[in-house]
Amino acid sequence: MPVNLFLFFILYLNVLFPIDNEHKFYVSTTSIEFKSKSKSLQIISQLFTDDLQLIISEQDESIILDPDSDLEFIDQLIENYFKKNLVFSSEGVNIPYVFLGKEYLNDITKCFIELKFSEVPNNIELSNELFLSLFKEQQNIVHFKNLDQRKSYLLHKNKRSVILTLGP
Amino acid sequence: MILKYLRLQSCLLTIILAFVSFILNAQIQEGQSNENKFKQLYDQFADPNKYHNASGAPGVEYFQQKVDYVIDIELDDQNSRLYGEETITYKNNSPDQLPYLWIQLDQNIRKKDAPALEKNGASNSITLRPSSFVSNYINEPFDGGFNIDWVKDKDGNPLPYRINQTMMRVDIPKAIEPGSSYIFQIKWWYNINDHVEKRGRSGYEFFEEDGNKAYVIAQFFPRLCVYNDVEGWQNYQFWGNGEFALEFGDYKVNITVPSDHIVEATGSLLNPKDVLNKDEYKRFIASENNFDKPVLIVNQEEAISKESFFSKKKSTWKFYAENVRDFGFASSRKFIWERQAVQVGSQKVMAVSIYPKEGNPLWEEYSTKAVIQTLKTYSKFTFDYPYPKAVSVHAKNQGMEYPMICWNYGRPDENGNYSDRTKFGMISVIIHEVGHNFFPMIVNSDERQWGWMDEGLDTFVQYLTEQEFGETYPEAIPGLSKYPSRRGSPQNIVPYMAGNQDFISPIMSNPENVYQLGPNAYAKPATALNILRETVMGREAFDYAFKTYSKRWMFKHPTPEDFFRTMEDASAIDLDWFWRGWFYSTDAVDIGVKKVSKYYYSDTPDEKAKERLERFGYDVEDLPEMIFKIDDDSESYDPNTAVNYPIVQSKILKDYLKEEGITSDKIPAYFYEIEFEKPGGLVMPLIVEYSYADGSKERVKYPVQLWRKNDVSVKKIITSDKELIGVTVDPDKETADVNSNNNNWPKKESTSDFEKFKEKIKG
Repeated sequence: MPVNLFLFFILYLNVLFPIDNEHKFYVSTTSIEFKSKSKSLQIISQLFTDDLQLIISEQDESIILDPDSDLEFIDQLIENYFKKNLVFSSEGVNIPYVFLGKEYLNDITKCFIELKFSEVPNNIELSNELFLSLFKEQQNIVHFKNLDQRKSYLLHKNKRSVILTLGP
Repeated sequence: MILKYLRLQSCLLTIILAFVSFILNAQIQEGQSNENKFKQLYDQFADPNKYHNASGAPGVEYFQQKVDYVIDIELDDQNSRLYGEETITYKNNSPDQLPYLWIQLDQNIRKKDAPALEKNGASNSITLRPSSFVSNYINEPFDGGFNIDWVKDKDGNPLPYRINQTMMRVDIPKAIEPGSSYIFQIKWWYNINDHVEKRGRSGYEFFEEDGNKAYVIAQFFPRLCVYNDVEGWQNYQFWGNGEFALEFGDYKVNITVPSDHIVEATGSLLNPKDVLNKDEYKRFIASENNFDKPVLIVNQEEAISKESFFSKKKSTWKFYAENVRDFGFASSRKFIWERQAVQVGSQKVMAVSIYPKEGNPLWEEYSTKAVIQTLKTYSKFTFDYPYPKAVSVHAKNQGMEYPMICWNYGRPDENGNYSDRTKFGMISVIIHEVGHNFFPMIVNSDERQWGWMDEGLDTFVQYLTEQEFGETYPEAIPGLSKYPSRRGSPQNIVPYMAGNQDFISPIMSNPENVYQLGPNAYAKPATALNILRETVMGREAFDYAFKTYSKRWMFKHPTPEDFFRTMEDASAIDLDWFWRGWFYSTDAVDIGVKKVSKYYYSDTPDEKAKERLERFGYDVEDLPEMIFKIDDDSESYDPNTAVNYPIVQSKILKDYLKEEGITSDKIPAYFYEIEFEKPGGLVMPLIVEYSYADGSKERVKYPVQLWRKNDVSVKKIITSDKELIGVTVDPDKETADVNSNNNNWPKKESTSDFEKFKEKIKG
């Protein structure tokens, strides 16, 4: 682990929380798999529904998630939020993707996203700013599977993006 | 018998192997130390001794100090201050002379200059929300921490003391002899923090609409440090994450509050008549024998009517508790208060909930139900709940436990609406916090050192309780087949255990130093115990051992070794490998099926066998009558023979069997060699489902010891009269296997979650 990341962990992860019981940890996990055959990225972002609720409430206080008060509108709001805060780009140009939808699992929301390349670049940049505006302790974990290789990255407010290498 | 031939063959193999190893031994190999996964755990364990014996029970000379408190406190509601004066009776049951006493001052973590405020590194972000700007640069630090007025002996003579962060040494004139007691007094006050704004395990919530505060107060008085045979005087400061280590004793606490407040606390209320009005008192008494449903001592309407009137009068609530390790209380004029009696074993227990109206309609529906289920299920798995009551207090964002009382979150929105998430979050946190009465309030492990010993065990029994709650109240989980437990089931821990090793610590770590405390101290140990119960030990053996541990260490201070040793001692199951893997390492389970090959026996050797015989100077003709294994990758292998009736290939074998009178129905028709692989670091029992061509399936559970001589892969022979068409490892997903891609033969491309979701939205 790079020294700065290591220091971050030592110093940072033990945020000011008391452990008490089920204390909240501000974490999201985004798993990305590169499918060379279909020239696409399959992306699943797992977020705490409570955190997502706060984001949605900022835009419309009356909306409640799980069970959803307004399914289509909520999906639209989440999609907008993702497109602003989870951005893929190549050589400075954003690559559009399709927000397929979401499902709830206990207290977690799983968001499904598919990105299809017209031409697969060697590298892409992922900028992940999910919840960074909300929590200063937010950590965004990224798991990337490229063919058979797996890599994990830890993003946070001082490191918001990562370069992913596609293909062999 | 076939066996005889196989034995001959294996003799030959032994000769060959011996020869090979002779050649290898010609060079000197490097030695090794014992890295076996089944190695005894002596290198990690503290030695057993006369205080903690090798069975994991208290030893013959086990001792424990006793500390009794008489405390008078006054809550200044207007200024959010707490004043107190206490008399402490310290009984030295240790064999040692004690020249000084150490006192815990946990409130000092809120001192303006507390080192704990500086325990983390700084961050300096390029973007900042305005509210963060204010908290970062403008807010005055909170003026918290104990103000010690004096420390005196029982005759009123001042005692010198010295404060070191969150601990205070009291210097006594003469060492306390073994078996004798020392009485002294402390007077103090402190500013109470707003726990919603400033966080913390205690404090008040301010309600802007009506100007009221709801107090949940703990760590509010100077408490003795633990002195024991493991640490001597406890000396790990309170840094915020590692919770508490405390001695048992009897408490008499008199709490003076505004006369319109309702107070709940650790212990029994001694003077209900003095502090309740006539109606309240009648209901209070009536509730003592109401087993069917809660009796409201103060209802919502009454609580609301008090909100706008701030009484200038005071009243003093008197509580008494025996054999508790701590004391907590809650006080507010906003509280709705309900009590219901529950029979637990031979003991009647009061299940109690108090909450401001903001908790309704959720709290009146579920809080007391959750308390009752907790008392019943935990008592079943440990011991009968020994205290007279268990109180669940609603406090925003809190989830914190004290003897007989705990604070819990879960609040509907202003219109009284709530999501399932809020509901299940609230029920789960109540079960968890009331459950803490068992671990660590009674089975009193050292939380400052080992967070998992109470959090992990508690989260495990919480899981069992949640499941039973779902069975008791199916109407509470509409549309679900079981209660949606967040932690406990093996599959739920997979993402954590499969995660980046840079960010995972072993369970056996101090809570201050781990990366992800939630999975580390709560979810992983809870899941490990669940797997131990369901997959490794079996319910009967596990439950007996778990109960033995709980009972052994009731009102005592167990160490991790006491738990590990008792689980083995009471079950006759060596679990050193399990503790080593799950608790002392960050390894994960990954077991799969690598290769399945068919074979049969023939009278004629294939090329491979011939070559080998020749290499060692044997001639087939010289050997006694022998049959040869033909593998499916051999040039002699005939797939038709393998499938149809492999035994006919060998005349020698056929004749022999005939001679021995073995009929054909006893002869297996198919021979398979199956190789299992174990890329994961953890050893686990190997659970396999074999599927056959006729549609039948067979489950086999190979003992974990299978891995003791080869940590990488292992082979098994399957003979059958049916053709094998499928092999599945861990078919019920009960081992927290982090990689299911290798769990099937023939290889199954498991449909990814992503593909499944795409299918779903298409349909």
